[in-house]
Amino acid sequence: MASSDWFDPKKSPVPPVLQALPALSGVPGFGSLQRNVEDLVNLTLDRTVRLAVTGLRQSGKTVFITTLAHHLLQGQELPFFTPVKQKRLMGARLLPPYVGDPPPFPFEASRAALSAETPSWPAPTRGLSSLRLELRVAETSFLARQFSDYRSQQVEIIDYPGEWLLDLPMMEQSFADWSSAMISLANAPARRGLARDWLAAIEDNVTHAGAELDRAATLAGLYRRYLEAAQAAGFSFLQPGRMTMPGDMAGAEHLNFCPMPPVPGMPSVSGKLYTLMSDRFEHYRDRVVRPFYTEHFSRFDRQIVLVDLLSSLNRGRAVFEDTQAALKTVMQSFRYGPSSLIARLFRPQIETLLFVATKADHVAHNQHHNLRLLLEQMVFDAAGEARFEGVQPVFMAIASQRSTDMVKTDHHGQTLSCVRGRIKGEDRETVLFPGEIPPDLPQDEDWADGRFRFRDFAPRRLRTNGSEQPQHIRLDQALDVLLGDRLT
Amino acid sequence: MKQKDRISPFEIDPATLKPNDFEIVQPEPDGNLPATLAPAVEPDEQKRRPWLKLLLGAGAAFALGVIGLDAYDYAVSLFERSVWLGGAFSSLLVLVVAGAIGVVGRELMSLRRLTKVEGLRLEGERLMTSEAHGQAEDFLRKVEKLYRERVDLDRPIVDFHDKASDALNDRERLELFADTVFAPIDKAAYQIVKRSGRDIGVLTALTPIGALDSLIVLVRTVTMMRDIAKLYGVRPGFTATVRLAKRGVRNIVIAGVGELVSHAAVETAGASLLKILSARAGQGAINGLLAARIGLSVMQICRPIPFAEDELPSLKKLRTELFKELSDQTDDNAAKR
Repeated sequence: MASSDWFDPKKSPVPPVLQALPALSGVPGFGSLQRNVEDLVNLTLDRTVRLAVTGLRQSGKTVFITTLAHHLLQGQELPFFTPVKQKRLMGARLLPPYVGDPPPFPFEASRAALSAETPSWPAPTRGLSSLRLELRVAETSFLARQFSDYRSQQVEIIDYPGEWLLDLPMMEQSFADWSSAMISLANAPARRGLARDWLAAIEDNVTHAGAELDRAATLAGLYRRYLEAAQAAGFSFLQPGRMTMPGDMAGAEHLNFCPMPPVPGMPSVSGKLYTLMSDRFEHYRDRVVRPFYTEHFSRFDRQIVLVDLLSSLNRGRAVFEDTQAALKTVMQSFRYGPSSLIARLFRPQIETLLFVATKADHVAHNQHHNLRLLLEQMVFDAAGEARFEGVQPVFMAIASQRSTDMVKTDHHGQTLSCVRGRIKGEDRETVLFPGEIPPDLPQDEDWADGRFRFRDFAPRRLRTNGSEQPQHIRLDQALDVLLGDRLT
Repeated sequence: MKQKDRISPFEIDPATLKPNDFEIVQPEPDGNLPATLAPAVEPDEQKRRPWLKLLLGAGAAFALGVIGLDAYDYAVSLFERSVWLGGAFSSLLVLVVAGAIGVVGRELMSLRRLTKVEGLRLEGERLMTSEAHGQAEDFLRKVEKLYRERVDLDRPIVDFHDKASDALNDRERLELFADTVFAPIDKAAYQIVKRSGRDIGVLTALTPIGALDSLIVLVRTVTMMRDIAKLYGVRPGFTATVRLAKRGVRNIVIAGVGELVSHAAVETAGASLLKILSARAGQGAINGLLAARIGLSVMQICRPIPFAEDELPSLKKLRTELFKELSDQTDDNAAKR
């Protein structure tokens, strides 16, 4: 074959012309050029999937990414993943991130935490990281085998703190709009108590003259304290995200801003403060959020949204509805629509959307169905945009890493399905009857005390090389929805 | 849902539980979701015809009686002539009767197996739409029992048990079983269908006498049906084969393989068929395709777990492959001549 002289896909997915380029990568800007060309090749041939792992904080993104990569690298325990089903998966390997991409995902550290003698959940994500996987799948069709014995598919995943996700809608807002939205949000009954100090402070800002910088710092400090308290209470609709999870912006001066009530007479003392706050907001919006979005979030073509439904139910109605609103807002920042070559190259959009309720192992198996139905109800609005664009969302109840077994107990003559595992933070094993999940959105009486008391469990040890006990719930089916059709 | 007697969440100290207070896994059957689909195979026969049944039944009994009586009289008369003659004749008679009972028994057995598979299929169809837990295990145990003599399936079945997680619901469990255990059978059955279709096509194209090719089609189709049924564990006798054929033809209309007519029309315009027609083998292609349709339909009937929507054996794919092979074959033939 003459063509294989210059481009043999068996050796590398990248033509040699491009392989020669790393030598030039010392030249500024060359790395990104190489990356763009490589991207173009991969995108045209449809060999890269950019997977958006979306989820509010503590929804299990890191664990999902870790166990997904772990099982793919192992090639085991994924019976529902099409290439495995067809016995065509040859293997997977981790690739280093591209030049100019976020640092590599701390895969080994996360896996070590999960597979330690006393396993623990990986530490919460504090910054951006990226993970690249290459999957190899044997070709079956006669024609394709003439070119190569296998097909390779790259999967790119970005991990980030869930807090930052909520910043995305700010891109569409002006300072005045944002302020009034945030102030009315802080005045909601469930939050007013937490925001009391800050709300009082922004009201009497007129009395303090001079030194806007100090004043701004004080107000921002109060605002930050309110956000932190709200976060501790379980709320997720908290902007700006960098205030609760600063990442590389820790202690930055221009992060000291907060929503301000509108000022009638502008050239006054408080006017100066308002202008300062407004400038900082715009700086944050244009220099922090927008690049974050354009560099990492505008190029996805598959999306999985993780929802920690059980915790939301635990925290009561206000938090449940807050989570619902937060998800809906976040989803508006993504583009949905069927994929095509043109779309892939110039305007990537998400063609597959999967919602999963995580921690399905924290309830008995016979509740999974209800969990899924409830999830469907909960994110019905959030999925509306995608549906409108012709992307039919899929719903599932999964557990990336199982922490419980299911046992049956006899309770006053009734057989109950219970879960058995180690409670998070306590070093003891327990058997818990977690209660039932309503298949519909909870009504007033359901929020009454005692209905939802799901406990957090510590993970079971993540093992390598075939274990007797199943290690996850439906992780393989989720994977199949996200990638299966690219690999058939 | 039981709103009143709901039990609030509570915790149990595992130390206070005796080991047999709880057993691991598999929740109670949850009868909440009796979702059923219309069965692909219609439940039973068109119309009952009681008079016809009476006629046939009574006629058969009458004939049997006459033959039996005659044989008895004949035996008695032989005994009168000589004990040896009588003895030899009656032992022959006993053998004949034993043989008849054997044949009928086998037929009945094979019919029962078919009925059993059909029953399993209906249950399987129901479970394929169920999100509940707990019923698939019993069902699959029955399916496994059907295949317990099949040594070649031992490995896949063990494989399935290794892979199946306790968290799977009934549908997922069935899907996994089908993917693990039935995948090789499906593949083999598909090959049988393809081969038979091709044989029939080529043979009809090559036979010069019209009457002969009907015979070939008949024999080859019946062999194919029996082979497929055997593969899925039905091992049909004569009656079961007839029933299978009836069901198979009827199922074509109901199940997904019925799209042939329109597709065949499309294909008529296609180059491949034109090529075949020019080789005067069009009749063969059509015959082969018809047989293949029945074959795919029989596959669906004999499989205790229904095919998943996207895994239905595709007639379209089969047609393309078949036509390609047929035109190759006839080309070869033309070249030889």
